[in-house]
Amino acid sequence: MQARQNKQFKFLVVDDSEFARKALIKVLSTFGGTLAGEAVSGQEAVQKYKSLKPDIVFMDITMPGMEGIDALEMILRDDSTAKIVMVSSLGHHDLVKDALKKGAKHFITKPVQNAPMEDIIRFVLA
Amino acid sequence: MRLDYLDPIIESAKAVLSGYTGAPVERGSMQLREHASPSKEVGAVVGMAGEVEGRIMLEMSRDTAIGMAGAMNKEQFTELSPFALDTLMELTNVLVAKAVSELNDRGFTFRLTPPLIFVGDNIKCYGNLNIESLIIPLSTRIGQLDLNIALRMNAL
Repeated sequence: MQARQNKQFKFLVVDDSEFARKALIKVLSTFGGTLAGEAVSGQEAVQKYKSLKPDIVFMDITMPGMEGIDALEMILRDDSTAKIVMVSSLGHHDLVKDALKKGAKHFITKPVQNAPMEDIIRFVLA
Repeated sequence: MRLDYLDPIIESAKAVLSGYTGAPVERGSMQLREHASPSKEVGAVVGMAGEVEGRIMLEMSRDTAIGMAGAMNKEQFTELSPFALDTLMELTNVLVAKAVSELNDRGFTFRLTPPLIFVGDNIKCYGNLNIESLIIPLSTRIGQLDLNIALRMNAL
Protein backbone atom coordinates (compact mmCIF):
# COMPACT_ATOMS: atom_id res chain seq x y z
CA MET A 1 0.00 0.00 0.00
CA GLN A 2 1.18 3.53 -0.76
CA ALA A 3 2.23 6.05 1.90
CA ARG A 4 -0.77 7.49 3.69
CA GLN A 5 -2.04 11.03 3.23
CA ASN A 6 -1.32 12.83 6.51
CA LYS A 7 -3.71 15.74 6.16
CA GLN A 8 -7.08 15.08 7.78
CA PHE A 9 -10.21 15.86 5.80
CA LYS A 10 -13.97 15.36 6.02
CA PHE A 11 -15.66 13.86 3.00
CA LEU A 12 -19.18 13.41 1.67
CA VAL A 13 -19.84 10.35 -0.50
CA VAL A 14 -22.70 10.47 -3.01
CA ASP A 15 -23.75 7.34 -4.89
CA ASP A 16 -27.00 5.40 -5.19
CA SER A 17 -25.09 2.12 -4.85
CA GLU A 18 -24.36 1.02 -1.29
CA PHE A 19 -21.44 -1.06 -2.54
CA ALA A 20 -19.94 1.95 -4.34
CA ARG A 21 -20.28 4.15 -1.23
CA LYS A 22 -18.68 1.54 1.01
CA ALA A 23 -15.81 1.00 -1.44
CA LEU A 24 -15.09 4.74 -1.57
CA ILE A 25 -15.33 5.14 2.21
CA LYS A 26 -12.89 2.27 2.70
CA VAL A 27 -10.35 3.76 0.28
CA LEU A 28 -10.67 7.36 1.54
CA SER A 29 -10.38 6.29 5.18
CA THR A 30 -6.93 4.87 4.48
CA PHE A 31 -5.77 8.32 3.33
CA GLY A 32 -6.73 10.34 6.39
CA GLY A 33 -10.36 10.92 5.52
CA THR A 34 -13.23 11.05 7.99
CA LEU A 35 -16.72 10.33 6.74
CA ALA A 36 -18.92 13.42 7.09
CA GLY A 37 -21.95 11.77 5.52
CA GLU A 38 -23.48 9.78 2.70
CA ALA A 39 -26.10 10.70 0.11
CA VAL A 40 -27.91 8.55 -2.46
CA SER A 41 -29.05 11.27 -4.88
CA GLY A 42 -28.04 14.67 -6.17
CA GLN A 43 -30.82 16.32 -4.23
CA GLU A 44 -29.67 14.78 -0.96
CA ALA A 45 -26.07 15.73 -1.78
CA VAL A 46 -27.02 19.40 -2.11
CA GLN A 47 -28.81 19.33 1.26
CA LYS A 48 -26.04 17.42 3.04
CA TYR A 49 -23.33 19.66 1.60
CA LYS A 50 -25.05 22.68 3.17
CA SER A 51 -25.46 21.06 6.57
CA LEU A 52 -22.21 19.09 6.80
CA LYS A 53 -19.76 21.42 5.03
CA PRO A 54 -17.33 18.65 4.02
CA ASP A 55 -13.82 19.47 2.79
CA ILE A 56 -14.35 17.34 -0.30
CA VAL A 57 -17.25 15.62 -2.08
CA PHE A 58 -17.02 12.43 -4.12
CA MET A 59 -20.07 12.34 -6.35
CA ASP A 60 -21.38 9.72 -8.76
CA ILE A 61 -22.78 11.09 -12.01
CA THR A 62 -25.63 8.72 -12.83
CA MET A 63 -28.20 8.57 -10.04
CA PRO A 64 -31.98 8.44 -9.87
CA GLY A 65 -33.62 11.85 -9.55
CA MET A 66 -31.12 14.69 -9.69
CA GLU A 67 -27.92 13.52 -11.39
CA GLY A 68 -24.43 14.28 -10.17
CA ILE A 69 -23.63 16.95 -12.75
CA ASP A 70 -26.75 18.94 -11.78
CA ALA A 71 -25.90 18.60 -8.08
CA LEU A 72 -22.35 19.76 -8.83
CA GLU A 73 -23.70 22.94 -10.41
CA MET A 74 -26.14 23.59 -7.56
CA ILE A 75 -23.49 23.15 -4.87
CA LEU A 76 -21.06 25.42 -6.71
CA ARG A 77 -23.76 28.06 -7.15
CA ASP A 78 -24.02 28.28 -3.34
CA ASP A 79 -20.34 27.76 -2.59
CA SER A 80 -17.91 28.46 -5.41
CA THR A 81 -15.05 27.06 -3.31
CA ALA A 82 -16.60 23.60 -3.01
CA LYS A 83 -14.18 20.82 -3.91
CA ILE A 84 -16.06 18.15 -5.82
CA VAL A 85 -14.60 15.04 -7.44
CA MET A 86 -16.88 13.31 -9.92
CA VAL A 87 -16.94 9.52 -9.90
CA SER A 88 -18.36 7.53 -12.77
CA SER A 89 -18.28 4.12 -14.32
CA LEU A 90 -18.41 5.86 -17.71
CA GLY A 91 -15.08 7.44 -18.60
CA HIS A 92 -15.57 8.81 -22.09
CA HIS A 93 -13.97 12.12 -23.02
CA ASP A 94 -17.14 14.21 -23.43
CA LEU A 95 -18.38 13.33 -19.97
CA VAL A 96 -15.04 14.11 -18.32
CA LYS A 97 -14.72 17.43 -20.20
CA ASP A 98 -18.28 18.41 -19.29
CA ALA A 99 -17.72 17.71 -15.58
CA LEU A 100 -14.46 19.65 -15.46
CA LYS A 101 -15.95 22.55 -17.43
CA LYS A 102 -18.77 22.77 -14.91
CA GLY A 103 -16.36 23.07 -12.00
CA ALA A 104 -15.43 19.55 -10.87
CA LYS A 105 -11.91 19.44 -9.46
CA HIS A 106 -11.18 15.94 -10.67
CA PHE A 107 -12.74 12.91 -12.33
CA ILE A 108 -12.38 9.28 -11.26
CA THR A 109 -13.56 6.25 -13.19
CA LYS A 110 -14.73 3.20 -11.29
CA PRO A 111 -13.56 0.90 -9.85
CA VAL A 112 -12.23 3.48 -7.38
CA GLN A 113 -9.68 1.02 -6.02
CA ASN A 114 -7.68 1.62 -9.21
CA ALA A 115 -7.57 5.42 -8.84
CA PRO A 116 -4.40 7.17 -7.60
CA MET A 117 -6.41 8.43 -4.64
CA GLU A 118 -3.59 9.88 -2.55
CA ASP A 119 -2.46 12.11 -5.43
CA ILE A 120 -6.03 13.15 -6.21
CA ILE A 121 -6.77 14.12 -2.60
CA ARG A 122 -3.52 16.08 -2.33
CA PHE A 123 -4.20 17.88 -5.61
CA VAL A 124 -7.81 18.73 -4.84
CA LEU A 125 -7.21 19.90 -1.27
CA ALA A 126 -4.11 21.94 -2.16
CA MET B 1 -24.25 -6.92 -34.66
CA ARG B 2 -20.95 -5.35 -35.59
CA LEU B 3 -18.36 -7.74 -34.33
CA ASP B 4 -15.42 -5.34 -34.24
CA TYR B 5 -16.76 -3.94 -30.96
CA LEU B 6 -16.83 -7.32 -29.30
CA ASP B 7 -13.17 -7.62 -28.40
CA PRO B 8 -12.97 -4.26 -26.57
CA ILE B 9 -16.12 -5.20 -24.64
CA ILE B 10 -14.77 -8.63 -23.71
CA GLU B 11 -11.36 -7.27 -22.75
CA SER B 12 -12.97 -4.62 -20.55
CA ALA B 13 -15.12 -7.25 -18.87
CA LYS B 14 -12.09 -9.44 -18.23
CA ALA B 15 -10.17 -6.50 -16.76
CA VAL B 16 -12.98 -5.52 -14.38
CA LEU B 17 -13.59 -9.10 -13.22
CA SER B 18 -9.89 -9.73 -12.83
CA GLY B 19 -9.53 -6.52 -10.78
CA TYR B 20 -12.32 -7.48 -8.40
CA THR B 21 -11.34 -11.16 -8.02
CA GLY B 22 -7.59 -10.57 -7.94
CA ALA B 23 -6.94 -13.39 -10.42
CA PRO B 24 -6.76 -13.85 -14.19
CA VAL B 25 -9.98 -14.39 -16.16
CA GLU B 26 -10.12 -16.84 -19.06
CA ARG B 27 -12.44 -16.40 -22.01
CA GLY B 28 -14.28 -19.46 -23.36
CA SER B 29 -15.82 -20.17 -26.76
CA MET B 30 -18.51 -17.81 -28.00
CA GLN B 31 -22.02 -19.13 -28.57
CA LEU B 32 -25.05 -17.70 -30.34
CA ARG B 33 -28.43 -17.69 -28.60
CA GLU B 34 -31.66 -16.95 -30.44
CA HIS B 35 -33.72 -15.96 -27.39
CA ALA B 36 -33.24 -13.24 -24.79
CA SER B 37 -33.74 -15.38 -21.68
CA PRO B 38 -30.81 -16.02 -19.34
CA SER B 39 -29.68 -19.61 -18.84
CA LYS B 40 -28.42 -19.09 -15.31
CA GLU B 41 -30.18 -18.23 -12.03
CA VAL B 42 -28.81 -14.70 -11.66
CA GLY B 43 -28.76 -12.15 -14.46
CA ALA B 44 -27.76 -8.50 -14.08
CA VAL B 45 -28.58 -6.37 -17.10
CA VAL B 46 -27.85 -2.85 -18.33
CA GLY B 47 -29.76 -1.54 -21.33
CA MET B 48 -28.69 0.97 -23.97
CA ALA B 49 -30.77 3.35 -26.06
CA GLY B 50 -29.75 5.79 -28.76
CA GLU B 51 -27.33 5.27 -31.62
CA VAL B 52 -26.36 2.07 -29.88
CA GLU B 53 -29.25 0.03 -28.59
CA GLY B 54 -29.68 -3.29 -26.91
CA ARG B 55 -28.34 -4.66 -23.67
CA ILE B 56 -25.48 -6.40 -21.96
CA MET B 57 -26.26 -8.97 -19.31
CA LEU B 58 -23.96 -10.73 -16.88
CA GLU B 59 -25.26 -14.21 -16.03
CA MET B 60 -24.06 -16.49 -13.25
CA SER B 61 -25.16 -19.29 -10.98
CA ARG B 62 -26.43 -18.45 -7.50
CA ASP B 63 -23.24 -19.83 -5.90
CA THR B 64 -21.04 -17.78 -8.20
CA ALA B 65 -23.14 -14.69 -7.49
CA ILE B 66 -22.74 -15.15 -3.73
CA GLY B 67 -19.01 -15.79 -4.13
CA MET B 68 -18.50 -12.80 -6.41
CA ALA B 69 -20.34 -10.40 -4.08
CA GLY B 70 -18.23 -11.72 -1.21
CA ALA B 71 -14.96 -11.34 -3.13
CA MET B 72 -15.81 -7.78 -4.12
CA ASN B 73 -16.48 -6.84 -0.49
CA LYS B 74 -13.69 -9.01 0.92
CA GLU B 75 -16.13 -10.74 3.26
CA GLN B 76 -18.08 -14.00 3.38
CA PHE B 77 -21.64 -13.95 2.04
CA THR B 78 -24.03 -16.86 2.59
CA GLU B 79 -27.04 -15.55 0.67
CA LEU B 80 -28.05 -13.05 -1.97
CA SER B 81 -28.88 -10.27 0.49
CA PRO B 82 -29.98 -6.84 -0.79
CA PHE B 83 -26.38 -5.64 -0.31
CA ALA B 84 -25.03 -8.61 -2.27
CA LEU B 85 -27.48 -7.84 -5.10
CA ASP B 86 -26.49 -4.16 -5.00
CA THR B 87 -22.84 -5.26 -5.28
CA LEU B 88 -23.60 -7.37 -8.37
CA MET B 89 -25.57 -4.55 -9.98
CA GLU B 90 -22.64 -2.20 -9.44
CA LEU B 91 -20.29 -4.84 -10.89
CA THR B 92 -22.43 -5.00 -14.03
CA ASN B 93 -22.74 -1.23 -14.19
CA VAL B 94 -18.96 -0.73 -13.99
CA LEU B 95 -18.25 -3.56 -16.41
CA VAL B 96 -20.72 -2.37 -19.05
CA ALA B 97 -19.77 1.29 -18.68
CA LYS B 98 -16.07 0.58 -19.06
CA ALA B 99 -16.82 -1.63 -22.04
CA VAL B 100 -18.94 0.91 -23.87
CA SER B 101 -16.98 4.09 -23.02
CA GLU B 102 -14.96 3.40 -26.14
CA LEU B 103 -18.16 3.54 -28.20
CA ASN B 104 -18.79 7.01 -26.80
CA ASP B 105 -15.30 8.09 -27.75
CA ARG B 106 -15.97 6.86 -31.29
CA GLY B 107 -18.84 9.32 -31.51
CA PHE B 108 -21.86 7.18 -30.68
CA THR B 109 -24.36 8.82 -28.38
CA PHE B 110 -26.53 6.69 -26.17
CA ARG B 111 -27.73 6.39 -22.62
CA LEU B 112 -27.38 3.49 -20.22
CA THR B 113 -30.26 2.34 -18.07
CA PRO B 114 -29.70 1.72 -14.37
CA PRO B 115 -28.76 -1.92 -13.76
CA LEU B 116 -31.48 -4.44 -13.05
CA ILE B 117 -30.99 -7.91 -11.58
CA PHE B 118 -33.05 -11.09 -11.99
CA VAL B 119 -32.85 -14.01 -9.57
CA GLY B 120 -34.70 -17.28 -10.06
CA ASP B 121 -34.98 -20.48 -12.05
CA ASN B 122 -36.16 -20.71 -15.66
CA ILE B 123 -36.52 -16.96 -16.09
CA LYS B 124 -38.14 -16.05 -19.42
CA CYS B 125 -37.42 -12.67 -20.99
CA TYR B 126 -39.22 -11.29 -24.02
CA GLY B 127 -38.45 -8.23 -26.10
CA ASN B 128 -38.84 -6.88 -29.61
CA LEU B 129 -35.22 -5.99 -30.30
CA ASN B 130 -34.82 -9.06 -32.54
CA ILE B 131 -31.08 -9.23 -31.93
CA GLU B 132 -29.45 -12.58 -31.25
CA SER B 133 -27.42 -12.81 -28.08
CA LEU B 134 -23.73 -13.57 -28.18
CA ILE B 135 -22.67 -15.51 -25.11
CA ILE B 136 -19.06 -15.29 -24.00
CA PRO B 137 -18.16 -17.48 -20.99
CA LEU B 138 -15.64 -15.92 -18.63
CA SER B 139 -13.96 -18.23 -16.11
CA THR B 140 -12.91 -16.60 -12.86
CA ARG B 141 -11.50 -18.07 -9.65
CA ILE B 142 -15.02 -17.71 -8.20
CA GLY B 143 -16.83 -19.50 -11.00
CA GLN B 144 -18.07 -18.94 -14.53
CA LEU B 145 -19.89 -15.78 -15.56
CA ASP B 146 -21.44 -15.43 -19.01
CA LEU B 147 -21.33 -12.15 -20.84
CA ASN B 148 -24.58 -11.98 -22.81
CA ILE B 149 -24.38 -9.25 -25.46
CA ALA B 150 -27.17 -8.10 -27.76
CA LEU B 151 -26.29 -4.75 -29.34
CA ARG B 152 -27.15 -2.92 -32.52
CA MET B 153 -25.37 0.15 -33.92
CA ASN B 154 -28.16 2.27 -35.34
CA ALA B 155 -25.93 4.94 -36.82
CA LEU B 156 -24.15 2.58 -39.21
